[in-house]
Amino acid sequence: MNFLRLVPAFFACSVLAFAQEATTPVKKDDGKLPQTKLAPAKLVPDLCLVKYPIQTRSPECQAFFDQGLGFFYSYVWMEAARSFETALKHDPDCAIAHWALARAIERWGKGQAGPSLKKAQELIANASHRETLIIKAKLAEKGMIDGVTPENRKKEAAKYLDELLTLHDDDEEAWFLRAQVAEGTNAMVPYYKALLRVNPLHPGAHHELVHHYENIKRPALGWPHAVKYIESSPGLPHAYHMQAHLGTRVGRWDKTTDWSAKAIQLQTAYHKLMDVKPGEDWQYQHHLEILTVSLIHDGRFKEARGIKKLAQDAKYTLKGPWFRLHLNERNWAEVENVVPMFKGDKVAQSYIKAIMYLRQGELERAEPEINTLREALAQKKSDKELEIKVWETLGMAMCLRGEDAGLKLLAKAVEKVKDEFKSHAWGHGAYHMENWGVGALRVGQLDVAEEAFLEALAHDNGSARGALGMQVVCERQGRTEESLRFAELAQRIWRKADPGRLQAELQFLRGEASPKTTASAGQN
Amino acid sequence: MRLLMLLLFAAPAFAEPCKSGPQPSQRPGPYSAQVAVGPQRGTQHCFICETMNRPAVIVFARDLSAPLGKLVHALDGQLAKHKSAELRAWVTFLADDASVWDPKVVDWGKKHNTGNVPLGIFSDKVGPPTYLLHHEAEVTVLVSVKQKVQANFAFRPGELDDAAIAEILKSVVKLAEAK
Repeated sequence: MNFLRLVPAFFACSVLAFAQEATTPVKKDDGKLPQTKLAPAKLVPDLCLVKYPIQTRSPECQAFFDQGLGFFYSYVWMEAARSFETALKHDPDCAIAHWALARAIERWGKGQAGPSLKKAQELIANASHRETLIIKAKLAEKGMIDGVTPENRKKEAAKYLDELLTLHDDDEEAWFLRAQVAEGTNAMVPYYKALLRVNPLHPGAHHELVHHYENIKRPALGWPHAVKYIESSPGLPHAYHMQAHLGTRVGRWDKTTDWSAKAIQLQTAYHKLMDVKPGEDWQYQHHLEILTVSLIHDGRFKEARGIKKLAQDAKYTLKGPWFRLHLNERNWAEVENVVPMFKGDKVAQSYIKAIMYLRQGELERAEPEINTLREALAQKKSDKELEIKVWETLGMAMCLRGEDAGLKLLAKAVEKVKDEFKSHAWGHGAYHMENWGVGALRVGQLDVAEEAFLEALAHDNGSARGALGMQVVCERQGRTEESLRFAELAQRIWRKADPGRLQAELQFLRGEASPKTTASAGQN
Repeated sequence: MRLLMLLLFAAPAFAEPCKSGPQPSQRPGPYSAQVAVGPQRGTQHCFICETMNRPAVIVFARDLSAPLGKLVHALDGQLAKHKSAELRAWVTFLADDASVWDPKVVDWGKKHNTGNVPLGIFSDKVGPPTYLLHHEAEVTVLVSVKQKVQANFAFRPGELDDAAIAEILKSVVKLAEAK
């Protein structure tokens, strides 16, 4: 269910919300909630599966509380705060809802969380025993309980939560909160896993585990959690986005780009229905950027241009991804338009121009730009990223001149980044290997080209250029069966690419393979 | 009668040994698999790249069978025996979806006590394209050193038996002791 399909439900809920508003004792001004200064929340069916029964007699308070949790677990702080405060409109004395509002405001960073927590403390007599322990844990963490020293706050919070879990090991919030105060690299994981035994579709646990497995560089272990996170939060854009953190690393190109697209679809519908400006939604820019990168990777340039338009409408400048987009679609005029976006960064401008000219085979125009990069590196020898850029551009230029030595520079760039986790984010893992392979084709070293393209595929099994490069290498060496297998692989990888793109890339690589090239002896 | 005819026609096809993967003197190329069991669990890892010129036993499999478990358990014993030769061994399962296979591979490894032999999953039943693994081969074993295959064994379903395992191990011992 997406936001577009929810329009009638929104209106129904909205009518209900307004009807209830008339009977609530909350101060009536411009209809905005007093603390968050937001319009009241609307219930969104099928947003998130999470339910946490609280001490209230108001079904509306319960419903908005659950919705708030759903938003909270997806880091949509503003909407979480809005939902919790709306819950309080229906039951102003609900202590745990004040506690939840305090947490959401704290994360949102707008307004004061303190008064809400204080209110939760004042109303603690209304809370259930479970909720009392949860509120006390937060009060301890904030130093709002007598006798808790600053250095012991987390430990004291943990004590309350441990007590709760000892009495009620089915308490989902307690497991989640206990994980949050656990100290040590992997210390939170057992708590999240315990929580998933209680509720196998807990959105918070799955979301946090996605981040955790990415952080500890074991993305494949996080992937099942990314999939379950979506299942737990079918109406939340961030769930569809988060999988990309891992899917692009573990080569799930069959799913990742379409899911990232779904995130944007949900998000734009949400903005429209809730009258949220893109600038108020801190996740939107990142989601757009990652979708753009994924679409480029998959050769879906037309769709990427559509996403560029959305970003421009929201006044974002995603200069890096746009440069890659236009470079890959060989739209040189648009690449030129990206250059001024790097205003004030002469090195970045020279790099972009150098790459653009080299891709067009315009060596003479590229050389001054490469010289600018080399001069900058001479001034800043410790800049490792710049060093790689120099190797890359210089290596490409030398290969264009037919100099084998260029391959060594391209290989150096590969060596530098191949085991770096950050270089492999968002499907970029094969970039330098592909360049190395193209350079090798150009100077006619098929054995090196094979090494490079196989490395590209080993680092990113969705490297279309790696598969096409191998197809060309095998064609040149008369290895027909392998060539066919790589052709099939490339077609599978770019099955959703713009029409004609795969063929264009293949033609480019065939053209790069020098006519002088001879079949190398064996497979080195 | 019909069965006899079927057997007569089918027999020559199965009499041919299964040819799968790089042959002796060819190079096993780099590829990455998702590690299910081993220190690199949860990562995409290229064991070929890591192994370089060391002696290695590279196993590709399309099923989690008991005879394969027996082979891998035996290979684990060889790893312990030939530590000084820096012998490496790993298994790559070929499957459509690594995340579905991961728990199955973990359970299978426990059941067959596969020890220190890493178990990984390559998300394509065809296998790495340069390997030209035969589609009928349930298990392909490559014994290699210095990035060249020394011996190649391939088995259709049901062909990997004790005698075949003994043959593979003989080849592994020969390779490790030659170092």
